[in-house]
Amino acid sequence: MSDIKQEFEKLSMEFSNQQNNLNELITARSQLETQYQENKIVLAEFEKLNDDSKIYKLTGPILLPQDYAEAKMNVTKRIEFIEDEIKRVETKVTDEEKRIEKTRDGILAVRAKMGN
Amino acid sequence: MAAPQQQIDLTKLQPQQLVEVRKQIDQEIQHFTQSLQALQTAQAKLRDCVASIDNLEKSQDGTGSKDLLVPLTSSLYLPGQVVKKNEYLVDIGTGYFVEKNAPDAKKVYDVKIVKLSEDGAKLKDILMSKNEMLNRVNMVLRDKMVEYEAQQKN
Repeated sequence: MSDIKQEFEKLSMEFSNQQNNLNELITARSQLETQYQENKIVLAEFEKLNDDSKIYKLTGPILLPQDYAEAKMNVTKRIEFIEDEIKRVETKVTDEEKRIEKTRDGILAVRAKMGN
Repeated sequence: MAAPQQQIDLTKLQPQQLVEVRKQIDQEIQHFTQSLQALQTAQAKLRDCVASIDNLEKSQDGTGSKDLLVPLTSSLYLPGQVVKKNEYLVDIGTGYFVEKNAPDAKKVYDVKIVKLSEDGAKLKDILMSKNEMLNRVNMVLRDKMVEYEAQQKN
């Protein structure tokens, strides 16, 4: 009997841990989405500019002048990076969801045993 | 997002489940209301930017004052005058600033304001449908309670 109880406790712990992980992943996902959208707006703005535009980049407390081509490349690269990151987090989310599903099944099985 | 959930027949749920559903909808409504408020604050800020440009433009054609107070800290200001005009540094996001003239600078903000208005309208639609859902859940829940009480009496 105590064996089953212990297993139940272990599974419950695992379950809540996994749920915390999932929540963290989802927060990370939405943060990435915000960054992605912001960078897309910046890129769209760059599309309207040309080489003559004076562009500055805020680095710490100062504004540094920047090359149009360089700035645009930076943002494009950043968008690519964020896209990869989003994909990475999304696979993690599905993995975690699968793990939660498994733990839930385990809990249900143990609970059924305890009922008997 | 929550579209598949709407397919559930509310009347077949247990009262406890209904309470859970209600709690969830409540949370969603709260979340969307907060988002809507954030959108409106952002929009007000953008409008301030456009108004500031308009003010400076007025000082240029002589209809407004050239004087302004330059903030050194949040509590220390220097009286100043605008020397160079029609040149604005616009924050386009992620730390990038671009030098623009007044009409172009205003265009940046106007586009954003329009975009926010559209998003705000979408949010309002979502909020309305969520409120409707909440009302439906509440009604079903009330019916169940009446039913339950009637059963208790018998």
